Amino acid sequence: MKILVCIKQIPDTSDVRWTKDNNILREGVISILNPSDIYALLAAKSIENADVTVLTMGPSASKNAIKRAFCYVGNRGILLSDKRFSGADTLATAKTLYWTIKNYIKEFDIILTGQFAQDGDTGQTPYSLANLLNIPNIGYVNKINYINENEISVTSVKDSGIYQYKGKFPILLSFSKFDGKDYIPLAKDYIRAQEIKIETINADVIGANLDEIGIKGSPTYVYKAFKPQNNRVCKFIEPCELIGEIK
Amino acid sequence: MEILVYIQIKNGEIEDFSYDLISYAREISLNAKISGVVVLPYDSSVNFELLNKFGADKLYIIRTDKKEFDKTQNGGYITELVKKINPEIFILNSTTEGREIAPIVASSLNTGLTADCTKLEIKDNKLVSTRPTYGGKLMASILCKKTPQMATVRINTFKKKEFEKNNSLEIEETHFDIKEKELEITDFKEETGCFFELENARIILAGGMGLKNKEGFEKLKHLASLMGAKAAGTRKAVENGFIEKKYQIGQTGTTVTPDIYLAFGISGAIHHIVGMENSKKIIAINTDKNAPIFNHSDIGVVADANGVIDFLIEKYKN
Repeated sequence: MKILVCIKQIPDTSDVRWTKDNNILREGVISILNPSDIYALLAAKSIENADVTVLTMGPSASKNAIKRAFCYVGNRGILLSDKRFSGADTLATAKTLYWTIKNYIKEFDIILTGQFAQDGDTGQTPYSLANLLNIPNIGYVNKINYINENEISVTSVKDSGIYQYKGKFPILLSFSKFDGKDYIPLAKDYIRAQEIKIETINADVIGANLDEIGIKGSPTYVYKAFKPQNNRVCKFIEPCELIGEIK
Repeated sequence: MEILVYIQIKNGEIEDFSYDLISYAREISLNAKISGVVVLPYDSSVNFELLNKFGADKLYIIRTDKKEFDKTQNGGYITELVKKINPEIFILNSTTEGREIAPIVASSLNTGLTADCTKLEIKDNKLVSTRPTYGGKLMASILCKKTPQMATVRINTFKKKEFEKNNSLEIEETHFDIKEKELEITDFKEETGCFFELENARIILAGGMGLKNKEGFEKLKHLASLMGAKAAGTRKAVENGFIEKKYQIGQTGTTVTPDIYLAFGISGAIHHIVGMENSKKIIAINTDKNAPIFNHSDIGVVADANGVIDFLIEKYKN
């Protein structure tokens, strides 16, 4: 079974600080592996006889995210790194992943991703990628019910209810949780992770259409960014006065 | 200009938040043509009359031959409709259904999509979509170079309202032959979750780590039932198993706008604030008078949240 896990290195959003002119201070912010990607990695780890490739896009420092992923699972790592990829919105990102899978990775049975990246929180890339690859996808997955050579059954929890899906390969699954065996990486996993060579490839290698990647290939752009407004002024009262306020 | 709005159906009725979104589309562009699109199984009938009252001019009904609960593949049908009618703007509610369909349509049409917006505006005939990002610490206003300009809009961003109309709802039925992806739903259990429970609550009592344990949350739920309110919690409280995930308020949970929001033992992390900051009145109870929650509150009580809950339970019992 060939499995591809797409991951993302993100800034730790609990550690965001501001400059004097109300901009986000990007320097010195700690990078972490996107939390819901860990569910995808745990899912990959739970599948027996799997050949697991970990794929990410980003600057060379994103190798750390792949190494972090290797602590859970994986025997091949691919980093898409090219300044022509930078500034990509979800569509340009999905296309970049699409060309990588179609022209470079070629063979796969299952693609696993996290449901959302905690920094952007759009949750759009997995759906766009599956659509471009013209394969079925299931979102909000939190459990693999069973998997065999021919099919996979999963549980997906959406706001409308709980769904049991059955699909054939190739398929893309995005995880919002993982109801299965947890794993805390051990020292030996960190050592193993350092020893796996990571392939770093650029836009030419994947045969990307250069007009459709990075900032050039992104239909959306940020027109302005600002700090959320807050106009409330708090009046402090005693607990016994509370009842009068709840009306 | 035509603004297309995805209409969500549940058990044969239009979801209330779809009316909200129709009204919002009308509100941001009084002169635009506001159209709804709905994907319906061949055998289903829905009363669409009210759409007109809340701002819609037209409704496209796409008939399919699939089961009602299989909504995951509506994207393919809607893509075909959008290709045919070329609306300038296409918006959906930020429900799981909307957030699954939208990227499929956007990537099929090679256009941009802004997720989970809390504000839409029309400026110079362009859609400006504003959304929280970076865990709610930053707001970003986003434009799109292509059409349709697409966005999903967070529930409770706008409440439906009636518009004076001199035309009636034009309805166009259509059908597209789509090769659906091979995927089978073997079981479905309807569970509305709190998504809609909290959405409609007039008073919400939310608990944070200041309630200390599951027992604290049991008391919170007890108080909520005495007050006719709904109990909810922060992400940390959910992660600690004090309250179910479906009652989580904040960036990765539900966004609520009740008349009164009581925050018990919540420090006020920004990812929580973005889920409740548009509540009418916010009351916070916390032992730390410097807790950030007070910066987002109208009324503050510096006290132990558990003690205040006990006090209120006694009061409401009488």
